[in-house]
Parts: sequence; C-alpha cells; structure tokens
Amino acid sequence: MKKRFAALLIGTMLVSSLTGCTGNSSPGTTEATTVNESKTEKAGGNVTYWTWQTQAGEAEAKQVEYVQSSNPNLKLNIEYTANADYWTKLPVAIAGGTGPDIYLMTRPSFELYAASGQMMDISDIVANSRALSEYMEKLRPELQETYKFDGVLMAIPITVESTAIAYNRDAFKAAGLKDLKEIEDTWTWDDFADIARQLTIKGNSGEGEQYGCWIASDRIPFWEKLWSAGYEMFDEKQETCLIGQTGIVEAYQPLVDLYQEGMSPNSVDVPDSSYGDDLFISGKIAMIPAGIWKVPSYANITTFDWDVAQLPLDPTTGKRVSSSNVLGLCINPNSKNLEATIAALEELVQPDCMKIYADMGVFVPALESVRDGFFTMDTPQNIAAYKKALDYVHPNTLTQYIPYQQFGTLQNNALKNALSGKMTLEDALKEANEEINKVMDENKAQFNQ
Amino acid sequence: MSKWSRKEKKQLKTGILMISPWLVGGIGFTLIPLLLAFGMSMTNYSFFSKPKFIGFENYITMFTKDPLIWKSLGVTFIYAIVAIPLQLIFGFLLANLLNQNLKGIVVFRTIFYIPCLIVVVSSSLLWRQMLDTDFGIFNYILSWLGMGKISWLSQTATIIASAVLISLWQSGKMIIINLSGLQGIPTSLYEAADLDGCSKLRQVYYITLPLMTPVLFMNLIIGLIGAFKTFSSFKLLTNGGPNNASLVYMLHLYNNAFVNYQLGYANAMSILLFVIVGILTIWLFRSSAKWVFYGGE
Repeated sequence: MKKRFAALLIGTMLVSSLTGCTGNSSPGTTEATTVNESKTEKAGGNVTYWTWQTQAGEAEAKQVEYVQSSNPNLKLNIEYTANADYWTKLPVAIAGGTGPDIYLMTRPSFELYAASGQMMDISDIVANSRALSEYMEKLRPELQETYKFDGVLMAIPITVESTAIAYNRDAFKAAGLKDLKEIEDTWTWDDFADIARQLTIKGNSGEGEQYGCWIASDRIPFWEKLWSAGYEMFDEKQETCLIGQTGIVEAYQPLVDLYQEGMSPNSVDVPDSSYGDDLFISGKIAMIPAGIWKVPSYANITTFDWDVAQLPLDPTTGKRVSSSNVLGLCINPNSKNLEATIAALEELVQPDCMKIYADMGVFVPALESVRDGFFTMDTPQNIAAYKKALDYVHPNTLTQYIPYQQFGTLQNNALKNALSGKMTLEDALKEANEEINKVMDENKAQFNQ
Repeated sequence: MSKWSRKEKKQLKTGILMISPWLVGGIGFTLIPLLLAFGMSMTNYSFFSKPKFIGFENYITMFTKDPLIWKSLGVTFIYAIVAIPLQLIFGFLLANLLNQNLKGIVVFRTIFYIPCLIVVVSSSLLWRQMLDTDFGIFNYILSWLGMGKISWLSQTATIIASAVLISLWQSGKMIIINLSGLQGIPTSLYEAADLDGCSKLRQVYYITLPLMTPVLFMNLIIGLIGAFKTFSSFKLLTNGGPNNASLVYMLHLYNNAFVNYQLGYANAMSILLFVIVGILTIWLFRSSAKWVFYGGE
C-alpha cells in the first residue's frame, strides 16, 4: 500500500514537473507587457504586434482602440520588449517558427532580416490592398524605396526621425553668445567647435563644471558628419565597408580633437550614451546632438531654459544631413493569421491612426499630411528645427552582411580608441574597417552557401 | 542483474522510481541541452541561416583566429584569482566577527546580508554612478582628501578592482554559510584550549580553520564557478570596454551569440568554459584530500 502511494506521489511529481516546464508557447507574453490580453487562439482575428518602443505605449493604446473600433472583429495585441532584448528575442522566435504577426523594424537592421527570409515579401499584399497602396503612394519617394530589398517591398514605413542640436539657452546667455536659433541657418561645425570651447568652464582643479558639448562614440553626430561631407559607409552594392577612407577621417577629426581638448565630458568609459542625456538634463553640458525621440525626456527639464537648433553645415560641402531611423512594420513569414494581419496593417496606416503618434508627440509619422501635430508642442520652442531636418534626412541604411549591433560595436570601439587617444583616428578607423570587412566576407560566404 | 533476486529487482525499480524526478530533470535539463550545445558547436548556425555541419572549425577559430578569446579568458582568470581568495578571506573574517555573543549582533548580521538581496542589475547601476570619474562619490571623497581622481572604469586593473569590490559588498551569502560553519564547531574545544592557555590566534589556526575547511572548500567551489560565470556586473559597469579591457569570457560569449548572431561559435565557447571549469573543479576535489578535514578524521 505504502509503495503504491509512493509510486502515485512520484508519478504526480513527474507529471507536474513536466507540465510546469512546457512554459508558455505563445511568444513573448511572459516577459513583455501586453496592451490588450488576447482571447483564445480559437477566436479568429487575433493579431500580435511586437515592438520595443515602450515610450509609445500610451499612443499605441489609442491606436489599438482606433483599430478595434474600425474593425470590431480584430483583436490587436501589442507586446513591448526592452530594446536590447527585442533584437535577441525576435530572430530567435522567427527562426523557431513562432513570433508575432507584425513586428517593428529599424532601418539599419532591415537588410539582414530581409536577406534571411525573416520578413514576408509584401509587394503583392500592398498591390492588392487599396488602403496600403494608397498609403505608400502618399509617401515621399525615398520613403517608398527605403524598405525595398532587391526591388521587393518588405515593410511599410511608418515613422521618420531627424536630429538637431539641443542646447542650454541659459548657458549661452551667461557666456554672452548668440542664441543658436539666430544662427542655425548658416552655422558650421567649425562654429560648433568654437562655441563649445567658449561654453566649457573648468574648475580650479581642472575639473569640468560645465562642458561645451557631448561627443560620444555613437552614430550621432558621426554619421551626420560623414554624410554631410559627402561620404558613405558602404559601397553601392553594400558589400564593402568604407569607413577607413581618408575623407571620413578628416570629417571625424574635428570632433575627436574637441573631445581630446576636454570640451566634452568623459564618454569613453560609460557603457551607453544615455549618460550624455543625464548630464544635459542636469545642466552639465551646454550642447548635445539629439534625435527627435529625446524630446519627451528633455521636456521634463525645469532647471534651465533649453531649445533645439538645426545641425551645423559641413564647412567644406556647405551641406547638412540628418541621420534617420525610418521605422517600418513587417509581417512575420510564420504568421498564422495573414488576413487578420493585413486587416490590422490597413487600419494602422489610416491617416487618423497615424495622426495619433504626432498629436501625442511620440513619433513623426512617415505620412506628411498628419505630421503637424508633432510640431505644435510648446517645448522646445524651435521644434521646427526637427521639421526642417526632415528635408535633409539620410535613412540609416546598412548591409545584410553584418548585424547592426555588431557593426555598431566595432565602429564605436574604434571611435573610443580614437577619442581616448589610444590610437590615432586614422589607425582606429582603418582597423575597424578591416574587421568589419572580415566579418562581412565571412557572412557573405554563409549567405551564399 | 541475472543474479539479483526478485526482491532486489523490485527494490531497484522502486529506487529508480523514487529518484526519477531528479533523473528526468538531470537528463532533460542538463544532459540533453549539453549534448545539443555540443552538437550546435559543430555548426555555423546563426539565426539568419540554416545550420551547416563544419566539424571542429569553431574550435579551431577559437584558438587561432579570435584574439578576444585569450583576452577574455585572461580578464576572467585575473578576476577569479583576485576575487576568490578575497571573498574567502573577507567572508571568513567577517563571519568570525559576527560570531560574537553580543547584544544586537543580529542587527549587524542583517546589515551585512542585505546587499546580497539587491538584484545585480540595480547594484551594478548604483556602483556605476558611484564610480563615475567626474561625478561619482568615490572620486569626490578622494578630491576632498586632496588626492587625484581615479578613472575607476577605464583600465582593466581598476575595473576588476571595482568588480571585486562589488562582489565583496554582496558576499552576504558566503558570510552566512561561514557563520553556520563556525557555529557548528563545539565550544568545548575552545574551552579546553582556554584552559590550556592557548591564545585566540592559535585557537583560530589550530581549531577554527581545520574544522572550517569543509565549508571553505564548498565556498571555494561556488566562488570558482561564480567567478567564471560572472557577466552582469561587467556588462552593466563597462559592457566589456573600454576597448575590451574588461571583457570577461561570458560577456564575449554573449556578444557572439546575441550581438554577432554566431550561435554555433557561442556554443563552442560554452563547451570550452564547461571543460575549463570542470578541470579546475576536479583538480580542487583531488587536492581537497590534503587540506579538507571532515568530522571524525
């Protein structure tokens, strides 16, 4: 009797441990925050949408309401995952045959995912959908083309970004300098450097009480500088990295010099560039290159008056270029509910739905006709600087042969070596160029096998 | 088995049934994943392409083409060599101090244990702020004392020192384990030593230490495995920088898996780590016969 009882008990333990370990088979729900809980799999019309843009939660909740009021049979579930985890979880899920129906894509990662079959070819879907084709036709030509891979449309662009220089107006007044808004149409990167020097205040022991600018090993403002000077990171076929070329070294050198003169706080030892935001918000930095997505966080500044100004012009070419991460919506090839997914996309691209992003000051929609709401906010006063920058954006295109994060790591390590003085900028960029090309060659071989 | 009686066979079956939950867990969640990891290490799998069998190419790449393997192993070994003895000594000394029969000693035990309840992410971010070169409190205190600033997070030596400091701050568990070991030593031995005129220092050397060797040995094994698996503090403090100066092995493995998407190679790295830790653990177990004294010996 005792043995039978023991056997029954052990059997129960075995069964419960096995069922406990199967976990949740639907992707992402255990870690992400859902905006709307899905009903059962049997109820048709459930569409799962993955994104990392947690700051857009409130706006996207309204979009879900819009979608579901327009189409009551549709249940759109948006799941949020922190940025770093998102780019780990997404390819794992798709490679494993699961994942969401729709997912958000950032432009630099597009080629890799498109070449690997991790997103669906949507050319025919758009062609056969009046709502989607009308939406695409209304976009600027460069946005229509930006999510095409080998001429095939793979994602729907939904937002654009631009960059500007955020600055501490009180620091400018205290230094007796003209407000940047007054000179933004004509100032150059040389002017930027001069102003940074005038705004840097060192204490008695040589420590920085206020720094003129923030220079970090990040794409901003290095990519802006590179493109303004007329260079590209990759060749036309996107098979060879070119960041080691002399012209790019010359374009970057003034920023490196500025850092080494002590006009920027230490950015080499910090693991992420959000540290610069903290220093700007606390009034320690007078100028910081800032993407439009920083506006919500800077809007909470109450201790000093701040504003934004357009990026400086390149002193040689007289041009300025703003980097832009165009975000796009992709369909997962594993999507089990394609009709509902297409229906959800058709609702999401409706002007009234896109307008929610702008009106709530979260994103600038790719659709020009609904952008104005974003640029009517009171802070910063010169929010129009970001709007003007949309006229000279360069989408952040990369290549399918190296993941964006890996390229970023190799590039940023080179910049850190240069900024810290461990290597000359020329040697650092050449070394990074060689490493990136080596990785690309290895991955090319893998892709072509 | 053919010589076993019916009763013995029945008992065997019952015994296996009794340990079956552990067997299922051990096979399902340890052995099978290990074999799968080894299998995947023989492929060039990334999330973006189908796996192709490449034999031992990943291992050859590790030893011949990846300079960061040696760099990361070096940083990890340095961290282990510095951190483990300090953790053992610090944990032992502090446990001795907390093993006093004083009023309110529970409060002190609680204070020393609390840091290890804080999750690694929060504590690492906190320490990162405190160790900041320009605005951190440590350099503020140094400047107040008239000393120069130290870039805590800019060189291998200072980063490792910072990581060791954090691990000592969070060594509450080791302290508690040592404390329980100390409280297991019969007080009659100390009383007899007192009667014989033995000094406190000699009591520690001849009574406490020998009887604590099993506990210290366990802490050493745990500390060794923990040191080689260290990841979170380095990821959050410096992310392996600057210029891979603080790139520990697990961080290099993580980068290969989830930044470079080279899963096959990352699995090969995990197998190498398994072998290294396994060899060191076996060596420690063998050496324990010479210096670990269990009760009754």
